[in-house]
Amino acid sequence: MSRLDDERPDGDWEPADLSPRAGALTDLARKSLGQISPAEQARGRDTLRARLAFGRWRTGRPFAYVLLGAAAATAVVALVSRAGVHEEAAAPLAYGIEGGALGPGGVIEARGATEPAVRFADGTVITLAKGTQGRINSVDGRGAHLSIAEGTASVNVVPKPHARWRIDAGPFTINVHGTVFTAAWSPATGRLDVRMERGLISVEGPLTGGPLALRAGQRLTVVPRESRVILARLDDSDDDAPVNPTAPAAPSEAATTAPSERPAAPAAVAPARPAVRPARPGRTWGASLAAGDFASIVDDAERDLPRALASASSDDLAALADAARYRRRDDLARRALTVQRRRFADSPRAADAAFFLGRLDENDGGGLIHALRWYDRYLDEAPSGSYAAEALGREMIALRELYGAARARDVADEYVRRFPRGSYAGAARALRGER
Amino acid sequence: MLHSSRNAHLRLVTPPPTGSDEAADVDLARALMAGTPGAPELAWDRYAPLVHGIVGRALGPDAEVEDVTQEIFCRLFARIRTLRKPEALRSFVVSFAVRIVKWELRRRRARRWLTLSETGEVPDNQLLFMSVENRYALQRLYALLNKLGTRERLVLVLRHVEGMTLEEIAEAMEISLATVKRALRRASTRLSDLVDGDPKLGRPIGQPAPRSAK
Repeated sequence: MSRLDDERPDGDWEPADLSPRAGALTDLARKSLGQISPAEQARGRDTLRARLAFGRWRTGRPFAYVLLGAAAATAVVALVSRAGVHEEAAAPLAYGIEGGALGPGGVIEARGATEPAVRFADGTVITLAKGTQGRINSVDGRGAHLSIAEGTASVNVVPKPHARWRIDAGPFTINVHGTVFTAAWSPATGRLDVRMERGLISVEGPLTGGPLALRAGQRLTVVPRESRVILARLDDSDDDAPVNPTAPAAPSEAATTAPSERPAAPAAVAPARPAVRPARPGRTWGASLAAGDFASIVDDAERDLPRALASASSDDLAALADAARYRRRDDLARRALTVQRRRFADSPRAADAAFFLGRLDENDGGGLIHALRWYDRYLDEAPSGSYAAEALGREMIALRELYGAARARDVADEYVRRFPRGSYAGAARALRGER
Repeated sequence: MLHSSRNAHLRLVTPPPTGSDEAADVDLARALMAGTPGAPELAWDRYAPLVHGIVGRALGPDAEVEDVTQEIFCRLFARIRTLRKPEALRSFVVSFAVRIVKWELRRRRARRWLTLSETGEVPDNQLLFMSVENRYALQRLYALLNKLGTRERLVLVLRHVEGMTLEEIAEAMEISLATVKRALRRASTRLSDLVDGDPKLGRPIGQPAPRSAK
């Protein structure tokens, strides 16, 4: 402790210093927080320009902005709210539909072959592609809630404090925090595609493992029926580049090109009939999981948890663990994974369970040591398993964090050799370059 | 006032303006006050990094740093006519940023938003690419900072995280130098006690487990 809070002899009082540990933390904050990227600065300039166009800040003499004229000239065909655009607004945002009209139940109806655009008073624009079925569920002073039943929406949300924009695309929920992106949902194929141009959104739904953050320049594809989640760079055309939905955001230098998609791992023991009651009649937990019906899986299991854990098939236990993780019930997920390893030892799902137990330990914030052991075990049991790249990458990062770069270099070498295009390849090469 | 070597680790994150910067500031301030088209964008280009840094470091890991930065600029432009000395544009900007950050902190405190992101749903924007342990450490730091009063927290962050001088802090917060020193002493002592006594920080890490060869 190096605190000094005494009066100096010359009367120049000097305030206290921080303790070494507190000083180290503030150093970390100084180095880690607050930097603005060129992209963020450019985006902020655009946003500022848009806000200025709406004249929220003008004090008298107006600035001449092209956007102001453009906004005024917009053909608003349905003004639904009388809220003023100059108010920070408890009142709902004013909006209008360009190239369409508002039908019963908030349905956005296109006029002819046009692509209707919903223009909000704060500058936000949501455009529906031709043939898209969308509806406005609600509008308030902070944003709006829209749904896409089928088709593609291009979304350009102007960031502002405390805004809340939500787009539902089928079973997925997209929370928007000021951004430009397109979202396409196909109920026929059960596929969600999101392409991010700017900003940050989170997507939550089947297979996402809780809110999944998407940043500028990324694309996300989720196909629950195929248990497939792909998070990749926009310019990465490799459609077979799935990521594990429980994985953290990819290292900045690397596109997510994880090795292989999650297989439908066979259970070591396949019961003749479901040992536990499915979430819905005629539907297995696996099917419920794919449908995003996580709550019913958890509820079913918890009606008689000991029995469920003792009698569930390997597939059902995996589905229960996934559902529990998606519902943020890590305790339940851990139990299901542990039972999976005990009851179905030596099966592929038991090995997968080791990986997921590592992820759970890592998410605890203080369990890196335990996570390391689980990753090690997974790699021993399934050296070429579905999550081998992810486990090796996480192990490398954990080793670096716990013991420094030198201890992590062997793993970095192995990673680059085995997965030269993997998610952690950039980080691994950086580690090797530190020699 | 940085007299002692023990403060040598502090650095001014944003360098003080040079003579040419001040001259440019005078022109920019006059253009803003006159409502010249393009002036707001110029002001953004020049001061967004400074303001973004203050907001990000003062509020902590928060997905709304960009939004608050936007708000600061919009309010700044609305009040630009209250700037008396065009050459003091930088101080005016910092003062505005600090004032709104203070308001934001108080608003959060009033609403008891103890979570680090407002929604509690989205991964913290600034932490996405950090290691787990550093992320956790920062989350703990800002959770502990939440226990400080708004003034103490702001003074401490501006001094120890943002790296401002005591005089700059006094000017930005519109309080006396003596008040800054008192607040900083209280805040430093309190944060040090909280950090040193936090069982969740710096828990003993065991020895490395031998890794099996693959």
